[in-house]
Amino acid sequence: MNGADAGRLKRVLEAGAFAVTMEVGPPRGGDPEAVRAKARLLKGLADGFNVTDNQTAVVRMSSIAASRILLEEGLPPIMQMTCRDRNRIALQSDLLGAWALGIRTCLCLSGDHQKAGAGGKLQGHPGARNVFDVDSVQLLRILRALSDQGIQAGGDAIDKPVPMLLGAAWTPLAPPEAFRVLRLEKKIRAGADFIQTQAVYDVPRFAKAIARARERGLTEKAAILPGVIVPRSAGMLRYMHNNVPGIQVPDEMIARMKDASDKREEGFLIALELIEAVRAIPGVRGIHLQAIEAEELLPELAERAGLLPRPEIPREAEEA
Amino acid sequence: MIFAERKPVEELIEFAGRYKRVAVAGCATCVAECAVGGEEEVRALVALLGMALRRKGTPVTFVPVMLERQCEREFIEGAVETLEGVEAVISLACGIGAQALAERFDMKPVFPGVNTSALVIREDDGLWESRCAACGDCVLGETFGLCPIARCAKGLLNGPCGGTRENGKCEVNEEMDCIWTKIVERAEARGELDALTEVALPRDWSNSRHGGQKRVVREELQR
Amino acid sequence: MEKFIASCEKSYDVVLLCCRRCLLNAEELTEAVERETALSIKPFILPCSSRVHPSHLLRLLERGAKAIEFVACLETNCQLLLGSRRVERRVQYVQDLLTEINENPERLGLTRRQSITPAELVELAKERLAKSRDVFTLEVKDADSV
Repeated sequence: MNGADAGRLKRVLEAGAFAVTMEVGPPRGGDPEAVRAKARLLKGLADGFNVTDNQTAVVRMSSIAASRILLEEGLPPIMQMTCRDRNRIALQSDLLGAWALGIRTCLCLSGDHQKAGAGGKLQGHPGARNVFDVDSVQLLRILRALSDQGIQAGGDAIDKPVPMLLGAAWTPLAPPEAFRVLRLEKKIRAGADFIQTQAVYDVPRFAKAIARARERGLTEKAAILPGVIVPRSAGMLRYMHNNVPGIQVPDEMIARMKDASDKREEGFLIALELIEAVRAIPGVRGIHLQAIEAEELLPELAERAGLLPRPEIPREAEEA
Repeated sequence: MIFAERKPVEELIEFAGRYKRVAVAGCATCVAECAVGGEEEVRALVALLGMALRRKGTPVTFVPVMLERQCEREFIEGAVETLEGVEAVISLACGIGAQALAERFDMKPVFPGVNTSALVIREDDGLWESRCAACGDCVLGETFGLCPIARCAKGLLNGPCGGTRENGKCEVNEEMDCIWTKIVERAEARGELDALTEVALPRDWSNSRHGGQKRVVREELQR
Repeated sequence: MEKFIASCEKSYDVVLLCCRRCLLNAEELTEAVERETALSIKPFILPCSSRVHPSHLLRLLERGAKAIEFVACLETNCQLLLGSRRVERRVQYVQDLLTEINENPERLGLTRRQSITPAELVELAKERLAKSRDVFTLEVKDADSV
């Protein structure tokens, strides 16, 4: 498939290389070209590309279809799956379908509540019925069993296992903070191979959270990829600080962004400093880079962060 | 208790307007407690609908009826004579009571005057909060006595999602506690946080609505 | 309250509900009301305004009162502390219900006074009746122009 390397993230992590992931939000429509255009922009910049699953409860092209389009464009997708819209029957069925389409990495999430509606910017579907038959931890466990033993949640076998790399999300700085590391442990115990975190701005606090994970041996068991979102304005930082649970932005950083004459450059500088700082925390094995609604910033960011070119990691013969 | 909320008056006007004589049937239990179907509300609705339909030029006679419990057939029998004398009924009872009435009168339309919406506790005057989701497989024993199925917006069973606000409130409703934060606080206070590190497995929902219609037979109680 | 509602057998222009704590010279009330021959006013003095429930107000309106003027103490003066505040919420609730059935919510009104005389009460009743008519007149006009 156009040189697609669906299992790349797994091999990068296994090789001990510093992994890079990015996000590709599917369009609010059915035009595959919208996905392809983003794919062309981001190709080769990362080892895996998260494809969101109706994020903030807004109807978009399905994660599974957009993931397949990424594969066709030569990008390795990380298909996101949430528990909001599908029960265990549909989740397992879609995972098998994703496998059949060549998808090899999946991120398991509980999902935004249907009331989210893009933070009130769109009408969304607040009257929808949600599912939440299982939660993200249970989903990890179910997909782990399909992946490793080829056993469905109900106990029936499938014809053969579908070995996926499974990921989970972690919001270490949201309350109740004492429990967050235990929740991470649950996700890893349930089957997560890698962890992407909520965006980090307060590095010392984040480092403490990672230290707690390290003490429990979690950084050995799963690869933690801290999230970095390129800031574009002081307003954006303030908004995230006030409205996005688990994101703490230090006052100095907001002031620094406010005072900067070249916001674009200052945003880059802050992101580059964050990448360098989290990279230095023992136990961090990669980075998840985001530029909300400004993906065009990502090539320059990856370049200036010294993350390019992505390392060559030989593909094994069994990747057929 | 079972909690219900007032339906838009317009729906009731539309229904009642098809008849000349309509009963408004209250219930003295749950819906009286939540001030939507007790005696006071029956009287208010009779007056309000009376005014509305007179104003529309299609006057309807409304007959107030109070039942001790609409969900018990014996109590319905006590009101049968009055109800025989009307063409239709607006029931202010929960969905159970309204159906018990509807089942008693094959030919008489029974319209719900309220929307039954939750199992709640009364927190204060004019304030109710959900406590139970009737899921059929109680987890309170594992969650320190606080129900995440009824009280977490996503019904999560393995701890809080990433949306807990700084003040410990839920991202979906800032008036509500993140119940998982409360569960964790209790576990911590009792020194039992480790009890929450076990992965809670996918649940068997078959003893709730999801398992099909509930029918329970207990022979030891049968005649 | 029940007895009073039962006694309102005819259609009054204004039912006047007043908390006894803010009414001065209560003995002059009957005379003040009777002096007003142009309109029929039915007064009722309450021990506390919070004794009135939405169903009472709705039943009075349904029984034919064109308007209800409700006079309560200032919030800070309420002998039951919260009574006067509660009544405001109840009045609002009933006004919302009236709006829902396309009635003029101004048929019901609440006035707060530290103290009030019978003559002033009658004035309030007149004002209430006028307000209760305003929208009616407007609606009729609208209907004509359609």
